[in-house]
Amino acid sequence: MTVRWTELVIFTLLFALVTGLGFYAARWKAASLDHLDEWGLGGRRFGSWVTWFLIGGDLYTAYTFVAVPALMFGAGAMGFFALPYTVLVYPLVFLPLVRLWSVSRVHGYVTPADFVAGRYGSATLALLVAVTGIVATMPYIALQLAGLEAVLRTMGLNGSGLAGHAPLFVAFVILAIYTYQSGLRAPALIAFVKDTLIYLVIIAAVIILPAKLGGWGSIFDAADAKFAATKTPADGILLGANNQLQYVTLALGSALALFLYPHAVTGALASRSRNVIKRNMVALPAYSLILGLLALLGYAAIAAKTKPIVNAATGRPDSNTVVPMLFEGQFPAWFAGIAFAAIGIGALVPAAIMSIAAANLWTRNIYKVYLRRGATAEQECKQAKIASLVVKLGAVVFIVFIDPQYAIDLQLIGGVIILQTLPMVAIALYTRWFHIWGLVAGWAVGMGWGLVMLYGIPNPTTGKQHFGGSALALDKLSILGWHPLSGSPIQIYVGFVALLGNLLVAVVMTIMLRQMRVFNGTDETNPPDYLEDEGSPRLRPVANMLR
Amino acid sequence: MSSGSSSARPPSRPVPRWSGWNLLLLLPLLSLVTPLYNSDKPRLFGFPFFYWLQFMFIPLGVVCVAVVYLRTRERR
Repeated sequence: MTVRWTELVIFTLLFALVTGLGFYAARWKAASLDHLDEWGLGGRRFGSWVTWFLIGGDLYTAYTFVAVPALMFGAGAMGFFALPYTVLVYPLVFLPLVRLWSVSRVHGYVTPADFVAGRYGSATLALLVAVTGIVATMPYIALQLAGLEAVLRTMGLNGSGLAGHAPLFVAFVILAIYTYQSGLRAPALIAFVKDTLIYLVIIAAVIILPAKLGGWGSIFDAADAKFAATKTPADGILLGANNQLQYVTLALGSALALFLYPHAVTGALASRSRNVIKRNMVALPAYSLILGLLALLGYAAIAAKTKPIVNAATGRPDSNTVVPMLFEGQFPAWFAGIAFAAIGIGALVPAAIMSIAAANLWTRNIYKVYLRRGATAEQECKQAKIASLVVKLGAVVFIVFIDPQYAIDLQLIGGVIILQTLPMVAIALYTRWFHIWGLVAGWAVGMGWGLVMLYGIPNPTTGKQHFGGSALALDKLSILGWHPLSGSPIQIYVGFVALLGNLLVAVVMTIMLRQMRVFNGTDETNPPDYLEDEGSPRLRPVANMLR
Repeated sequence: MSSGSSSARPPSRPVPRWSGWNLLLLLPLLSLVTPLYNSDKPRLFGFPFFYWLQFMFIPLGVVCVAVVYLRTRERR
């Protein structure tokens, strides 16, 4: 094991810079950080630019820089589903998201679970949304950890056993401390640095790499040749007969899931007005272009004959290291160092935002409701800060116990979980038709079925029998032991199947419960609440958002 | 941009916002029709059709969302 010193020094310097920024952020647009609205939503004063960097920094993560290219490297065209995913998501959420912003500002909601509590007058439903959000966030943060670790291992910090995780642990503790200190301001400020670095690296990569490797044409040809030489018919630079449905359901499922995650909602709620959100829905696809080009670095790595590093902790080649190794092989050491820093910081920013959002859920919807009803603003904020640490630890647990074939499956497993809140949150923005207990039943079925399906998917590379991925062959699709599509090798995204089950049960139960006239909670929102905008006297002033 | 104008609005007037322009938001769903682009030829700058056509969906999405934003913007 050799340490690459140049890269490590540059990485460390840039990392120290953002850490300094993280602590400085506490004083940026200063206000009391003992208040959850300040710590957890940055005072809700972010304009278009800050929001763009914040949501962008939050959505395009180690997922984009490490996990998607790794999937392209290993499986080919399948991995490109991330592009239609990020094309679809903005038009899909454009209308619902501004409705959520308005109703949240009128009633003082800070989390998706707050909204559900107000909309349905049901503490049970809010609890389900809160718990689901917190749990679904953990594997997503775990993905960030995997990305950061890939960079550290590439730089030579590739120890075995528990000691091998030490550098990652140090990086994460630093992150935890400044998140604790500065709240949402830290990642918002760092996101500027991160994006500057990322753009620099990307532009260099997409111009220089194809030139060095004989142009995009020969990069695609090299990838084609590699996939043609493998025995499995599932890979290739085009989709096959069995994975088109998977491609479509992954793209659509991911798009529907994205703005259900508490961190994405936090980013949107932190903006100043409806127009800020709308303008961002127009501008955010600039990141999609980059995502697509980064995904193709997986093919560039094939053309450059990049070999992933053998992870000393597992003894197997770590596909997450293909992009770092590509930079290592094709660029001078100093530039590789900058690229590694970009990837590393690009993993930390979203990890911070995600843990803050999950912490908001814990504090507002579990701690204050079930554990300490009369909590003061300071106590509440303290809880959120501690919870943000606990969520990060949960992510570590996830990465230890769940070891799928591709790191991207961590995010996709999170997607299976968070998608089950779609009927309660997204559909509720438009209609109160669903019955509370119908939604609860749908959630239970979707979650249970989804987890059973995930449990049954093996990992072909490690030989482990469970939680090896997120694609289910229709042949294996079982409805209480009945296999309606037995024999079909066509693959589908588990999250999509589970959501359909969820919706079906919720609809059937709702029809029954409505027939029986079971009490369906009290709705504290009114139709005009969903349309209010900045400047309206009905919006709660930020200072007394907390009820 | 909108802060000055919106304060002039009567407080509780809900504006009915549905507009036919919103249907444009459905157009990017075309990117889910895989048979549309699942082929290597024709290539553009070395990119197989599968890839460059999907890249083209990005500007399509931006245009659709931008048009809806501009056409349905709250008036003063």
